[in-house]
Amino acid sequence: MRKGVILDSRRNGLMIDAGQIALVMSLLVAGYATVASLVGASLKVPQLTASGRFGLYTVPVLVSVSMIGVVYAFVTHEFSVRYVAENSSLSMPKVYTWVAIYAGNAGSMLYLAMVVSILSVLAVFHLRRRQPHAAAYAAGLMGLMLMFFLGVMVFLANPLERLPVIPADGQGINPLLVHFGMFIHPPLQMMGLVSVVIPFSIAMGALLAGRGGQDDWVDVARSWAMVSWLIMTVGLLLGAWWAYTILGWGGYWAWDPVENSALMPWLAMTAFVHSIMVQKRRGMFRMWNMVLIIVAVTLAQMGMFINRGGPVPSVHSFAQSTMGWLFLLFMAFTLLGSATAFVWRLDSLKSREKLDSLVSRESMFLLQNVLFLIVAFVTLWGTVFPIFSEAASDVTITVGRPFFDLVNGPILLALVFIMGVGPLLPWRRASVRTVVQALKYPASAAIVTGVVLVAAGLDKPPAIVAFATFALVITGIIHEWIRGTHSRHRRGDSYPVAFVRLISANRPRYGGYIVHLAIIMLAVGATASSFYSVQRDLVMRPGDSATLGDYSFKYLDVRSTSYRDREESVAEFEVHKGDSYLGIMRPFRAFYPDANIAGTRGAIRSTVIEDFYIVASEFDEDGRAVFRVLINPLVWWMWASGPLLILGVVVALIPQRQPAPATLRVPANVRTARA
Amino acid sequence: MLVLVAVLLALLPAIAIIYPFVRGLGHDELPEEEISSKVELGLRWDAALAGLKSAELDWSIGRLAEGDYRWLRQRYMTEASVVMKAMEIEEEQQRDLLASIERELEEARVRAPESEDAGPSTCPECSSAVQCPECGISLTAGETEDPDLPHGTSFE
Repeated sequence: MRKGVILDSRRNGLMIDAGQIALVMSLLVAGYATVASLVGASLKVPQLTASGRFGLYTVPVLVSVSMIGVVYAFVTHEFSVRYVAENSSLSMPKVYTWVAIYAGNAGSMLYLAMVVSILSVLAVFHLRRRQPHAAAYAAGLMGLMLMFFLGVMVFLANPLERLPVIPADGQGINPLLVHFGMFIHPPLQMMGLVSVVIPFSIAMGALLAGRGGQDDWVDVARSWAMVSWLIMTVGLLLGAWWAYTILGWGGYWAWDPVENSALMPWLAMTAFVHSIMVQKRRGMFRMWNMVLIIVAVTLAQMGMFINRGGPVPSVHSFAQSTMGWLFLLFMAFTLLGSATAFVWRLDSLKSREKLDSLVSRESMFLLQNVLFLIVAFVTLWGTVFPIFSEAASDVTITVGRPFFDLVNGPILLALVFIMGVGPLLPWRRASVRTVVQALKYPASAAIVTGVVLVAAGLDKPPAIVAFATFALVITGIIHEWIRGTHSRHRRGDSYPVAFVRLISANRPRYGGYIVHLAIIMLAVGATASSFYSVQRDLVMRPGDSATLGDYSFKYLDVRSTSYRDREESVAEFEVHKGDSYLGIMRPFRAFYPDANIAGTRGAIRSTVIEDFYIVASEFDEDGRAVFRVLINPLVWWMWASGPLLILGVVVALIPQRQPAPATLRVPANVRTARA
Repeated sequence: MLVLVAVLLALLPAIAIIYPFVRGLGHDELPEEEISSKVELGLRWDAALAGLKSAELDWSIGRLAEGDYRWLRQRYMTEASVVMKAMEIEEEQQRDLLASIERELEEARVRAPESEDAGPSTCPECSSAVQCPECGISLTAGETEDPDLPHGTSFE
């Protein structure tokens, strides 16, 4: 850090100090809320639980005061605050204040505390009337999570800590964060990881309240699990998009430890949101679902550990600290506590019913649980293997992409297959005739797809099998929609109205289908680009031309510009495809001397068929550089899947509004909890 | 000024924490436990209804063979009738509920079963009771049992 002049007085002290006080206060209140809720629930003292709940409601207000203090310090360039000095500078545009807040460890912790506190209040509010007993325990657990984040900040990583010597200017923001994607991806990713706490607390709260086997908490838990899953999914997708557009290596997923740390809880949560439907429908898989949500929260905490200076190197960790081991300890504590509660309440989790048949929707859910966990643990093993190799032999062996592709690839394809077949099977059991009836069109589409692709000259059998599987899934979904719409149309609705009513009458089911279609879009893009991408690395000088596939491109010139914080070189390429002129493409490379970081940004021409991608390495004085040129088929479909995915989850989450259903009226002489 | 801010920041949570004790709140915080068997019966009812609708939809779009559809429908209707009996629902209310179920199934149904005149069928579990082919309810009152419980167990 540059030494500077000690200012004669610290400006803006009130806001900073108020933020400090609020931070300490929030920790104390979170602690009280935790103890009061848990003790009140276990000793059945309702006023104590109410007091804990009310206290929890004030934590977001207190954390917000701290956040306002941090924001104010950034906006006013208050470099007496260490975090501001380390993550901003006088030249930083104010718009990047948002990114700077979570760019470092302490600020991201404050952001996480704010997210957890707000989500906790919403969840407790949602849960309290429906599941009053579970809500008290759930509130206590959420408070416990809050205490961890707040405690780390108060004692170890205070975002409002003052410096003894005030620098004249700050270090500036990490230049890799100066990209539109970084406004959304890191906060969404962090929000997704920490939001797993909510369904975990609801499930564990029900378990601690002795209601784990009652199944009436399932609806609320599933809603929150789907919200958490959606946030994680969008975060992952945005991260892949950011890697593709900004890191400049032409790819979007490298099985990097940070990427894996976000993927693992997503896998467990995906299994959970599906498996819990079986508990709702059949009163089965109660133990499975508890295990899945415990695994999800453990892996989410593992993810936070890896992101925060865990021992596994990553190309794009940006919140490095020495505090990773604290997260590991808290993860161990959470896992131990959850396992203890699970064993304690094991008897209450016995299934109400048994599996009627191996050929049933329930069996498919069981299989997907197993497969998702296998992928999660294979990914975990590959991610942490370097630690064990170093401990065993002083040699760090990293596990690269070929391992993950080889092991996880087929399992993920099997999961896609189950995603297609499972919804076609009925609950409880399916005869051979039903299976044939349900699968005849999807299976036919799969076979035809495979044959057509082979006839078209495609090689790589794994990719062909994958595309055939995707065709099976899509056909199953479309076939049901067509049949269902046609059936309704026969009753007098026009086709558009019939289609809308079909979806509206079965929102969880058809919202799920929309999500499945989005997953297929993602899978199509990932498969095509993984197997059929073509690439050339070329040394080119201005004036040189080259070709790749149907594309021809001429390196026209390079322009170098000096900015205050960087040296930027922009190459210009004239690009043709066949005889068509496509325009000028401009890949560029920037070097940030203060941060000693270089960043590249590829020039991408994207269509629904393929992406043409040029990325530059370091330029020589005469403009010579190594250019990586790629043709990536069908990548556009990956990014297009995002909005459809969001739509599907929203449709699935909209509460069903329908005429009064056939509800069971309890005889008057039976006392009830519900009003 | 900072002291004032600190006091305000402390007052907010303090008031919130003390408020339930002062106002005697919390009477609905931990309500008396609903009899757990009733809760479970309610959930089983909801699950049976959801299963019926799902089977109806699957069958109406041709995804479910006739035999499986009838088997599923019988299972779910038996479940519904068992739950109603266990909840000591009066006969008139039972009929209302069954009529309500049929209305909801009508929403999903778009064609009649291929064999309308199936005639009375026997309970898939105990084989001795005779069931109405339309709604599945036992035609022999008082003999419907929960297929998942040991013979003779009731939900009292």
